[in-house]
Amino acid sequence: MKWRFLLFFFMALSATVPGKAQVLQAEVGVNGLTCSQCSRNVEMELRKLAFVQKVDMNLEHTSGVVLFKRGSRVSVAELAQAVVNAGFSTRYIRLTFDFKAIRPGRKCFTVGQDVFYFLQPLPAQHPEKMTFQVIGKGLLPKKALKQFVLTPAGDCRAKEKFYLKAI
Amino acid sequence: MGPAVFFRQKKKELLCLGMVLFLMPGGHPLLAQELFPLSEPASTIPKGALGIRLFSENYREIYQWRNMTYLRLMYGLAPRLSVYGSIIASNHHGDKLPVEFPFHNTPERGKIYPYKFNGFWLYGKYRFLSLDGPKSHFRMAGYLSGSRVKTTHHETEPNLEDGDNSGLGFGLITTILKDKFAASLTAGGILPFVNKNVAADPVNTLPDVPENVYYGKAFVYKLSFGCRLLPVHYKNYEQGNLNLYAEFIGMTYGAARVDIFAGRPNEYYLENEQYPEALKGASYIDFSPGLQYIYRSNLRIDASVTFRWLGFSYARLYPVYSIGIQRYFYFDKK
Repeated sequence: MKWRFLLFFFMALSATVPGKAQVLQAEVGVNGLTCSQCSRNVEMELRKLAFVQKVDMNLEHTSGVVLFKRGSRVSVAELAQAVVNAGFSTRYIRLTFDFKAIRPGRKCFTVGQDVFYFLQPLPAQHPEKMTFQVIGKGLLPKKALKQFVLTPAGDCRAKEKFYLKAI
Repeated sequence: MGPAVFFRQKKKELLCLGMVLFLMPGGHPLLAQELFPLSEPASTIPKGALGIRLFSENYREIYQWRNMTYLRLMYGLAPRLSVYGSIIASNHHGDKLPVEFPFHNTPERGKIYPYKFNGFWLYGKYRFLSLDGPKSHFRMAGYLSGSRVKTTHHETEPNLEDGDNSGLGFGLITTILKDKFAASLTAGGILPFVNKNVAADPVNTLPDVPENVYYGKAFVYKLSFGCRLLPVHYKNYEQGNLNLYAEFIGMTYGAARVDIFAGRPNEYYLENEQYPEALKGASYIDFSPGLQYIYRSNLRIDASVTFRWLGFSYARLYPVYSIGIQRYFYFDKK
C-alpha cells in the first residue's frame, strides 16, 4: 500500500513540475511589413500563444526571437499561424533544440505533437544545442519551399511533420 | 487646358507630391508607410485586435466652422477579414430639406445647423491576395460598406463614410509596398438610397412639402502615397514615427432627381438642366497632403489638409482640415 502511495505521489509531482525545455528558442522572420506598428502586431499575436514566455522583435530586420515557457509544449504550426493572424507571412522559422533533453535519432525525433526529420542525417557527434531552419508549408515563401524535396525518413511519428535544415 | 497652364495652376500640389516622391526613392534609408490618413490600405487588422479611431473633418463656411466627427471601432475578425463600425455626428445637415428645395439656394451656404448625430456606417474588408516579400508586399482587398443616416443632404454627391447619405458602397483596394515606396489605389462605387423627407413650405401656415431625393450614383477613386520620415533606423517601439502622405481622392457622380410633393399630384416638375449645380452630375479630384505621428508604435495621430485639384466638391468648402487619432488594443487569450 505504501509503495502505491509513493508511486502516486511521484507521478503527481512529475506532472506538475515543468520538464526540461526541449526547444530553447525560435527566431521568426516575417515578410510583408516595414513599420514598427506592424512588428508590434506580430509580437502581440505571438505573445497570445500559451507556450510563449517572451518575444523580442528586431524592427529593422522584421524578425523576432521567441522564448518559451519551461516545460511547455511548443507548436511550430501555431507560431506560423500567429504571424498570419497578424496579417503577414513567415519568411523563416529557426528553432534551437536542446539535444541533451531530446536525445534525437540520426534521422528524426519528436517534440510534443511535432515530428522533425533531418534533411541531412544528424552526425553521431553533435553539439548539445543546435539551431535549424524548419521547412514546411507556411513556414517559408512558396518559392523557397519548392527548392526542397521533402520525404519522411525514419520511423518517428507525430501529428505535424516538419523538416530541419542545418544552419 | 494645356499642359503649361495645368502645371502653372497646380504648382503647389505638384510640388508637394514631388516632395513625397523625392523622399521615397534613391539612397534614402526611408521606408514606406501605408497607414494613410484618409484612405484604407488593402492590409487588414490583426486577428482579435480592436482599433479605436476618432476622426474630425473641419472647414470654414462663411461665418462658421463646419465639423464632422466620427468614432470608429475596428476589429480583426479573421486574419484576412476586418470589420468597422462608425457613429457619426456633424453640423452639416438639418432634419428637413431647405425651404423651396431644390429650386432655391442649394446648397445653403452659411446656414446654421445644430450639431447632431447623423447615423452610423458599417464596413467590411476582405484581403484576398497577399504576395509578401522581405519589406514588401502586393495586396488586394475587396470591401463592402453601408450607412444609415437620418439627416438631410443637399448635394447630389453621395458620401457614406462621412454620414451624408444612407446607401451601399463597394470596391477594390490594391496596395503595393516596396522598400521605400508605398502606393494604394482604391476604385469603388456608391449606391445611395432615396431620402424620403420634407421641406418646410415657404408659407408658414401650410404643411411641409414631401420630397423624395434620389442622389447620384458615384464612382470613387483614390490614389495614395506614403513614406516614413523618422526614425531613419528602427531601434525600438519607443521611437516616434513621423510619416508623410499625399493622397488624391476623387469621385464621378450622377445628377440627383427630386420628386416634389412625392406621391401626390402636383404641378411642379424640374428638368435636370434647371437643377442647381450642386445637384448636377460632375467629377472632381482633391489633393490631400498629410502628416502622421505614431507614438510608441501604437497611438497614431494623423493631420491632413484637402485642397481642390481638378474640379471640386459641392459637399464641402476648401481647404478641409482633418485630424484623426487611433490606437489598437490587443487581447491576451492566455
